[in-house]
Amino acid sequence: MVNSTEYASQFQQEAQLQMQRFQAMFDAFVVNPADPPAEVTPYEVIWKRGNTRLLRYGSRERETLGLPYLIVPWLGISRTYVLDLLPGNSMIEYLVNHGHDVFLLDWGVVGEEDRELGFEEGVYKIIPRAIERALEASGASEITLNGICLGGTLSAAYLALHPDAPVRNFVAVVAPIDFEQGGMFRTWLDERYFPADLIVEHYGSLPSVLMNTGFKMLRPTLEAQAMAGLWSNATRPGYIESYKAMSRWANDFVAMPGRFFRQLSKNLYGKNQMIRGEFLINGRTVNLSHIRQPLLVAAASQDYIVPAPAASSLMDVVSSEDKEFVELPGGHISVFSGRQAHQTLWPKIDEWVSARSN
Amino acid sequence: MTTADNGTTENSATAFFEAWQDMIRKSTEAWSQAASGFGGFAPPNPGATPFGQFPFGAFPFGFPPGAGAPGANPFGAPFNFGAPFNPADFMQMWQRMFETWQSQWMDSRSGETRPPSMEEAQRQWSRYLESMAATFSETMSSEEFSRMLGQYMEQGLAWQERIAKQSNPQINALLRAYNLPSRSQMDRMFARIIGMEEKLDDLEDEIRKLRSELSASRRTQSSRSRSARAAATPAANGEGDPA
Repeated sequence: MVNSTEYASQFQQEAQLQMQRFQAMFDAFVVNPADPPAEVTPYEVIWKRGNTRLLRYGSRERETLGLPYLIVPWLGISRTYVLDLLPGNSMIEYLVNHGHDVFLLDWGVVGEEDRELGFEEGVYKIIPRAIERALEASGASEITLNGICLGGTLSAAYLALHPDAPVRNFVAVVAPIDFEQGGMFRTWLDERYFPADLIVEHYGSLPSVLMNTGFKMLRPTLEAQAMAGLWSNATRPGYIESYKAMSRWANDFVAMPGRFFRQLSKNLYGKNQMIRGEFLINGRTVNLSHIRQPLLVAAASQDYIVPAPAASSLMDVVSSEDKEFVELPGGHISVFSGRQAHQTLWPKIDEWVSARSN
Repeated sequence: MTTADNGTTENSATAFFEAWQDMIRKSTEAWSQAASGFGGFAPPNPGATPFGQFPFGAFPFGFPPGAGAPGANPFGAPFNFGAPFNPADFMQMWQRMFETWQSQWMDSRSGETRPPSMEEAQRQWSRYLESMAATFSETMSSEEFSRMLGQYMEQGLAWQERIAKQSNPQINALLRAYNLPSRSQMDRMFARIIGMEEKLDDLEDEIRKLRSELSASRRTQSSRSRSARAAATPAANGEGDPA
């Protein structure tokens, strides 16, 4: 039988906790509903073409490791400010604070005028020019190239087609290479059923609304789970702010250029041409064995967008002698932008790149 | 609680509990009203399907059998969420969690075990969502789903195409009448600007290349002339210092 005094005391504790949570939620969403500011690390725009910009982070007066660190993120899908989300929760801020001269190739908000932007332009025009500008701005002769998600796929194609590129190290984070292992998207983008051509003809791109639907369908209960987690953690310092920042980003989708989407769905998800060495860009075959740079491949153990085997397969096809694969806890985004990333991926990258920067 | 130490303790605990329940109900209502009134906080996709904005109408596949039905929990979790509710309406979800938690506290007063904490209830809720997600994943990984999705999108696109064919000439005529550019004209203009930016980049590269070639040739020339001057001096000819 429950002792009534103990019962009342337990109830009081529970009630107090719920009230504290309630208060925190009310403050954060009703009294001060504004989202925290995004893009926290200062930057300057080094180069711009169309919607694409090359950004350089941090103050010019500080000392750096000497080897510029160029991040090539995904093209389309979502915004890149998730890499610089909040003070203390920013991959870019972390790398800058650890002495790296960080550059970001921000593809921007893809518009209909970008419909012809595909692997050809990315690999032969934009990435080479971004590298050239980064080298010029830093005065260095080589860079470290970090491709994230589809930016990793683009970077791998670039390196395979430019064996003499001024790239000393290559870091591929959750980058799909073996699309046969591409999870649910592989099923949905089945060439026999998915009308990729019709979508591109109609919209000129894969519009953000379809992108949003696709990603939400991938994990329909994710938002409900996030909200339940929010309630449990409402009184933890910084949790709500981080939730708000992440929630804004997670609903801020951008379109994918039509040409790029067609190549992605038909050639890569459909025929898995990248790893088979059959993918053609400007008439040249992408042969990943031409990649010889020291290579760090990172995958996430709970990634249902790019499952770990889809990313780790890069290890098997390159010619790099110095190569390392790490599978870290987290999902596709949280592995490089979550609360645990500052203990897992970011120090790993810092340590690996610093050891290869002299 | 029936065999409480004394009647006072029982009465005060009950009164406290009821006051608390009333407070929660009122403040949740006030919160909902404030949030919807100021637009400060709303569920991420208000009025949309439980799975976000499905582009061509309602999500066609529905919930797993029994999910959200009165008192039902198809995945076997011991927690009963009561009347049906929309999982995307989080305000409703929280209120339901509160009510369930409260009623369990009320019910347990005569029991032998401590009632579940909110954390326990939430763990059960998470397990419920996980089971739901697993069921969805299983369904959506099938070829049948992929085929249906493709058909659904094709139908939606065909419908949009028909609408566009009917409305575009009128819209374009209207824009012409007001001397405004159409969307496709704007796109073409942006594409031209990008093309010009690219040409400027190419020119900049050429200029850079020419500059570096020029400075290299200047360096070569000046080193040649230095060598020539050195060759002309007597010291360099091995004739010693004339002084």
